[in-house]
Amino acid sequence: MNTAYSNSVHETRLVTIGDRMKIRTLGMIALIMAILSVGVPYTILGDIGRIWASYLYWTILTVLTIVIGFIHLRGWDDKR
Amino acid sequence: MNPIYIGAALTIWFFIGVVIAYMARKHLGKGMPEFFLANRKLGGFISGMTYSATTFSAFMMVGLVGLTYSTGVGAVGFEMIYIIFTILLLVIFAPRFWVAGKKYDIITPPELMAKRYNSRWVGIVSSIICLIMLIPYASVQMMGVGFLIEGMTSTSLPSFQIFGVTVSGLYLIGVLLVAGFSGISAFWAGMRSVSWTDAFQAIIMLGASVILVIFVFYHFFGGPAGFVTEISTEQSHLLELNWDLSMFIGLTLPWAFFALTNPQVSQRMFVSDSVKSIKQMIIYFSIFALVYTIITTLLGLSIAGTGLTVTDPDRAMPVLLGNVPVLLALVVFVSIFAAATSTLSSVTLTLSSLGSRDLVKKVKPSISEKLEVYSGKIIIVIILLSCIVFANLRLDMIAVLSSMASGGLLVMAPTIIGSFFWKRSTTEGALSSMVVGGIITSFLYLAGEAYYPLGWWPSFWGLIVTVSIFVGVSLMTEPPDGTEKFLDEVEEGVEEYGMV
Repeated sequence: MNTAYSNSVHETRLVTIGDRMKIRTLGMIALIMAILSVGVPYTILGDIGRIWASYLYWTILTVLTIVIGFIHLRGWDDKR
Repeated sequence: MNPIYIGAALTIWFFIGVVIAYMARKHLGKGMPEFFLANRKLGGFISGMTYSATTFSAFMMVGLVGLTYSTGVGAVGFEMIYIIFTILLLVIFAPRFWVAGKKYDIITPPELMAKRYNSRWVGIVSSIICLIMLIPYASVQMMGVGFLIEGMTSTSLPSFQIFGVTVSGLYLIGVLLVAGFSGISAFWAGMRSVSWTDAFQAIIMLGASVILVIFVFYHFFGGPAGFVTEISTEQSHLLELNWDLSMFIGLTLPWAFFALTNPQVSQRMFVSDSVKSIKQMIIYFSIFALVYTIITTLLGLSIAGTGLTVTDPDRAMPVLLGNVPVLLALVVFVSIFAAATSTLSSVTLTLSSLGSRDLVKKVKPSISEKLEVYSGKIIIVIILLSCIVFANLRLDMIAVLSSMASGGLLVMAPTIIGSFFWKRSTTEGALSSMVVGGIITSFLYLAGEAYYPLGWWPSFWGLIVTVSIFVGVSLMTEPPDGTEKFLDEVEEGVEEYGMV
């Protein structure tokens, strides 16, 4: 019984640690996205008057975030 | 365009909308969670569509199109950053809002904060901030349709004076139509009718915009390639980033946190019936948001490429609609009307839930649930009347006005984030940061651009002040009783439901 309890606590801790790491990773992604979405257009792409410059860049960044979001959502348990 | 066409299109739309609302009403049960949250029983598709239709308002097809037409690609970044942050915020916060909502029977976002900070004042203050800031935002929806009807109709009605303000007859008709339809939707069956009509409206919004952009590309430019050539050669200045950095940050910052700070959207994190539905809500919203934003910004650039004469950015879309076939113009008009109505009905319903749950109930805790719903309905009427008055003042540009409203709500961001992710955050920190931050932000907006410190916008200063006060005061005070328990229970719930 003690072993079972110990395993359960251990598993809960692992899940919690994993959860926090995922949240931290998402937080880091948000920070990186903030820097990239402002920094690159304002330093490199801003003066280029072409559709493939800032317009496409922001669109790709958004698509990338959607993909990251979908990958994260794959880990959620659908059956509940 | 002949006003009779517009009247006919709206009649058809109204008929379909009323039928949907009536069907929703047949499923309406009793009590607060039923009226304001559809008893937390919405499926994935409806959740995703109501989230999309609520968040994307008349601003997109009127304000954003005009902003892109007049200021170029900066508007694209402004909106795309909103999507990027909304997706990340939904993935992080939706499970926590949903679990806390179910566990503690929470109906409104301020109620959630009041629970976490163990203080009814936190709920009252955040509700008051929402009520003050969202009236202009809701009014903007009415203004959007007012401008559109005025711009699309060839005949004009006499103008008249109300409280010293000159009001055009057609503009007022637009304002009253949106208010009326939104009122019916929210008043009749609460969240159930609002979310069902939202789903219908979201489909119209997306469908109409897709058809319009395809028509514009082929009619004016001979195809997408012709559009790209035209825009890259004749209008290349619009593809260069010419937004001043302070303006970009000032407008984008409130938008980035919109998903958390705007109660009409954050309340939608409570309504799904299962983990699968929350997941679907995020997926449907992500796709909708990306497609709709690409289309609206392309339309803004297209109008510049067509060479049509536009005197005011907010009239860019009406001018375009005056140059496309009548049937297409009508479909798009109805879609913009749908966008305005869906946002307004959601904002009205959410504000009425805040009023009845976080203000009336807190002042008179003994009030019955039936009376609580009744007071919510009275608040719906009061809010709509206030919005009608505000919309007729016709203040400033639509885009700036929307962002100002979100700028004011931004002061709640640290308190909301701290609710789930900072154990040390305290009631005193939450209250002082929202009150002082709210006063400073409002003061700067009202003082005008000449008084912006170092040229940076109020939302920027508001957030710095709010974060500083929130962190500083929290470190000097003690977290409220029950903080550990609240955080543990929410995180356990998130794990239990497998949303890790």
